[in-house]
Amino acid sequence: MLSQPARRFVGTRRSRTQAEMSAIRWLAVLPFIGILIGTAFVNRVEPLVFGMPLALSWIVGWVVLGAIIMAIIYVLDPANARSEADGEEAQ
Amino acid sequence: MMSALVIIFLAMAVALALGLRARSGKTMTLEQWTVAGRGFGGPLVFLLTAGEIYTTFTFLGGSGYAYGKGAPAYYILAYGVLAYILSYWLLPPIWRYAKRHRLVSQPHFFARKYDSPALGLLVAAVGVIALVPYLVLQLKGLGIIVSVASYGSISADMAIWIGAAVVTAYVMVSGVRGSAWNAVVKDVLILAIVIFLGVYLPFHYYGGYSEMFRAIDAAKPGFLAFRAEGQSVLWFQSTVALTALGFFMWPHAFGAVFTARSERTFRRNAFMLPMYQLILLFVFFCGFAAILKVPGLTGGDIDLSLFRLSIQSFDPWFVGVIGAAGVLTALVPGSMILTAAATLLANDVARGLSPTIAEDSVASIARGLVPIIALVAVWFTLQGGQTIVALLLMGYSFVTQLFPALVCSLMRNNPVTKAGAFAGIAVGVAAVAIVSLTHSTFRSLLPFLPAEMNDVNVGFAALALNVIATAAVSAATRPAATIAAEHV
Repeated sequence: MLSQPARRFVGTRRSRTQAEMSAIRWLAVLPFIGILIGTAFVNRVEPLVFGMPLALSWIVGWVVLGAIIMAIIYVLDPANARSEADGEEAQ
Repeated sequence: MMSALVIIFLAMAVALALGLRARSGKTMTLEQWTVAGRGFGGPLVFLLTAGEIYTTFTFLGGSGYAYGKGAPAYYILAYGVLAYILSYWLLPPIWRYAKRHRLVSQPHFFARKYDSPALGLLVAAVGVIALVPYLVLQLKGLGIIVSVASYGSISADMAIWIGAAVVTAYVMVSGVRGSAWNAVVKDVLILAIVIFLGVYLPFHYYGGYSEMFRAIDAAKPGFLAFRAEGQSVLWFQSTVALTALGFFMWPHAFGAVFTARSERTFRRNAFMLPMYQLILLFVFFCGFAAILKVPGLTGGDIDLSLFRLSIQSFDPWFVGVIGAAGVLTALVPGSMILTAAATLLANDVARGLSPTIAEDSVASIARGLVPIIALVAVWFTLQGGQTIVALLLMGYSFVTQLFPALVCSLMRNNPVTKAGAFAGIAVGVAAVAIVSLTHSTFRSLLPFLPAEMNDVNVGFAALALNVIATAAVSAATRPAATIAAEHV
């Protein structure tokens, strides 16, 4: 059991990370905008990027960015840290 | 010339043996047979999920679409990442709810959430309808591989029968564990082969990617960008939206969610699996490389392009290795799909109609249904005609109709009533069926719509009708007092 001040400390830290988290979550919207809307503006072959037509390389770029964004969200999401600490999924 | 076939049949035999071995020493209840007792750890779920995604659809269909259609194939790369982003928030609550209520199937989930066995039956029916074209495309792929690798000595029809027999046999003996072990073998093999082909073919024939794409652009101007009409940007947008929302609505994908040991698996997958999607690029490169080297394939034959180019480029033994990987990409998902369809019919339709059936008999009904479903799929496959991608898009058009009711059921205060969910799904599925069966477009049925509407994916337009019907019927059937969140 934690002492009263320590528990309060954990509480505030958690609520702060949750506030940060809800802001960072919005990053997940970017790949939807990039792919679903952005593609309309890059529907060309030239210039080739990494040897690929522009429209294709644009989509590739968003796949990579999407993975990076989700990795950031995963690392910062308190839900993942919590379940690890609880050891509920020792694998 | 026979060495290619020998290697391919050897791969089938090994796959079957792995399936048999996975079964030994275990007595199987229905729950074990379908979700393997929820015992899979992270790495195996990773491979199982990835194994489902890398199917004949990507290997032959993806390369074929790049070969035959050009830019529209890009959609195949785009929707996965969006689906995985959604899965970060979508799958954990599904998994938690299913685990708490010991659910083994998608219709159970809907029936429990909406407290409506009738809705469960409808969802089961939609699942089976959507799985048929998905199974058909696996069999079509098997037929292509075996008949092309036999250099014509085995007909495509005969090859489809052989493939269907192998899938049926190992699903019946081993259930999902068999496909998990084969998924491990398959993923390693397909990864190595696709990357090799995707690098070798463009460099061997064109001297590099830029050179290849410039040559294609010069020979077929406009082929590598979306068209002004038809498969336009609007088609791309609506198709990506449809397939991203439908990604986890497949009964077997939903079932694979239940096999995870913890909900964190899904959050991890959400950032690990999108990168895996990039191997699709190499498949595209194979299809693009074939455009100027094996020209002239049209209609349903565009799916042959990767294999035709391989035969032109390599010794028969290596064609056999490529074919073996191709066979596994059809067998692994084929077995998952067959399992899912049989389970849906036995556990959800049969038991839904007559709840007194004992669990033992449900398992044997499921097993007995496997060859029957395989036969139905063989029949549809032999009808032929459609490309692999068109078949999958048809399945998506059906299965995505489940999305609105599912996502609303996860809300704390579900705004959708059981009648609303039922009406929405029924309207969406009926719209897709009418448009597909009459080969019409929405604009020919509703001429006041603007011309651009023709480019919108049929399934996506049906989804819009679905949402309208869901909202209207829910509003009409909503009780005066707000329904409390009894299903959190």
